Amino acid sequence: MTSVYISGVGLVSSMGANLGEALRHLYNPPEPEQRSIRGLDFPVPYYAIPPIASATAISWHERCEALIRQVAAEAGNISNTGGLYLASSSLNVGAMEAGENHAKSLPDFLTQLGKMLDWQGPVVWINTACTSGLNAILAAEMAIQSGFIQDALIIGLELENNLTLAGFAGMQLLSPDKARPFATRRSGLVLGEAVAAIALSKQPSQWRIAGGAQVVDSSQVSGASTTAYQAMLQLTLARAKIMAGQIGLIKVQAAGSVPNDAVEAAALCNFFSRVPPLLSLKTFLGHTLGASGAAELALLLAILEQQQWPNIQLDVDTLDVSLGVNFAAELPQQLQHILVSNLGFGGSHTCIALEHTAADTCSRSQGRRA
Amino acid sequence: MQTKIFHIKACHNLPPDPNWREQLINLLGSKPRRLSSWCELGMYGALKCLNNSEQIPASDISLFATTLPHAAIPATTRLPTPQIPINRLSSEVSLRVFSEYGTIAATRSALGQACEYLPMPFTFMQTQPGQLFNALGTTLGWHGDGYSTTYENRQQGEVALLNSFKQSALLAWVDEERELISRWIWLEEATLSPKANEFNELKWQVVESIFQTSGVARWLKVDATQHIFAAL
Repeated sequence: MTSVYISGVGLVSSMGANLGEALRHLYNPPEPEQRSIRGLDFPVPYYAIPPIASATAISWHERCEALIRQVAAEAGNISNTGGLYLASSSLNVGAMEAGENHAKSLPDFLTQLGKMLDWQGPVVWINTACTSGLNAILAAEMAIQSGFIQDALIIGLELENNLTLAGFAGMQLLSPDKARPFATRRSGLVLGEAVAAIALSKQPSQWRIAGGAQVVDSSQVSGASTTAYQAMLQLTLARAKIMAGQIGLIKVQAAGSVPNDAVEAAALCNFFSRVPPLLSLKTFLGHTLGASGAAELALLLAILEQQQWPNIQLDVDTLDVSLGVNFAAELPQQLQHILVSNLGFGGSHTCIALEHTAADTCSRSQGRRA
Repeated sequence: MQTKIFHIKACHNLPPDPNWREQLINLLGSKPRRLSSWCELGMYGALKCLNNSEQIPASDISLFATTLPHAAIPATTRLPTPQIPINRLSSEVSLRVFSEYGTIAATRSALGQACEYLPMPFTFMQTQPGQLFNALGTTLGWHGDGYSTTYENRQQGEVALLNSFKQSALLAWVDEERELISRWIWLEEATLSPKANEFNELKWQVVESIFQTSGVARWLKVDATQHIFAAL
């Protein structure tokens, strides 16, 4: 089986215009902005991407293009003949709301996207809501292994729009003030926008995709399931050919949802005899939905590369001790295998296992190494 | 890429009948609840396809689990017992659903509602195609992997998915714009070598799309030149 590696990553988020800025904000992240939603009595926090410096008023499409080109450039020198995979749950809804002339079909939107990057290879959209990013990575990995494409660029794209905010507000899933994953006072999600890039290649680099799995569980439409979460972990480890005890770190979903955080924690406690160190990045980026898989993976790998660690471990007064888990206080040492997981609407549970290799990536990419 | 051959376990590539919604109710045993019209259309095609499966043993005829068990529905509102048996679907089967317009009708509804007030929760959830996999999971007891996908060039996407196939998959094309489409094909990778005599003796014919495969075709092949063939 051909090995597939992560050859580059890029991210534009509320933390800044690139991963360097995001890391600089890791110990002092920007406060979310406030958004008023028609029909909701109170404003809600929202992690917005800072305005593009040189632009005063630009259209949704112009902003989309600028951000996509930015993250693609940050991810490195990528061939435009591979596969371009788009992970997004809201696509161009923002352009529809703005009354802009927008693509009338999904293939037309993909054509627009391809033109933004002068892309020559196949352009693909994968949608499994909030697990879209990780599933796009798995789909691209399989396409590379089959020989259909030589390499791939995954773009996680989630830009602010009223429908998403109002929809989540209508479902009473939003926190009125702050996301508090695994905390007693957790009160819901805080949404955010992000554009991220993950470049995949057969060229060896530091992180190899060792395996992954998606399990759809239909017992809950918008919630997680312990059974499915554990099945997802089991399948991922089996495909990666690693044991539970070899996992050095898990980037969990932990979005601050009252029920889903509890389900995730229960599944982790059931599955592992000793739960590995945990990290959540949603208190920094917000929940960036279809982009979250790519965005959180990009930030995670940058954190590990720079050996920085955001201490989000909860103290005893804050932690929901009934969950039985907490976040790691320090960067775990000598990481060989890590898991990255996301949960999504429709009962989608997705996980990817990454294996650290000894490969030197300096010669591979002029962009941010992964 | 290597030549790969697939056994067509079931196929449904006919246009939906005018009364497809009634047929769906009959297939499910109750009215589908809170699903987008795109999702209902997908359910209809999937269940028609599975009912064409040659692998439904008579002994395994079960009235499957819907969101509301048939017996739990009040007798006054209960629909006739489903006439067509539906099998459970192994979680080993992957689901891949192509669409060129997706849930655009539900998205328009939700956008309209959001202009006035908060969109209704079920309207908002209908904007996500993931609802289809959830609904099929409920109906078929399936817990596998599935996603909706769009390729800029769908034929290219079909070749890509055939090449990255894992044993068994239900592939579909579902759209409700311009014309109603819910074409499904259930493929299983052949275990014999493509060079085996059994396959060389088949009369392979090029097909433009796996969703244009004849209903009587038994085999599908994708070769190294990325052409798709079907054979009886």
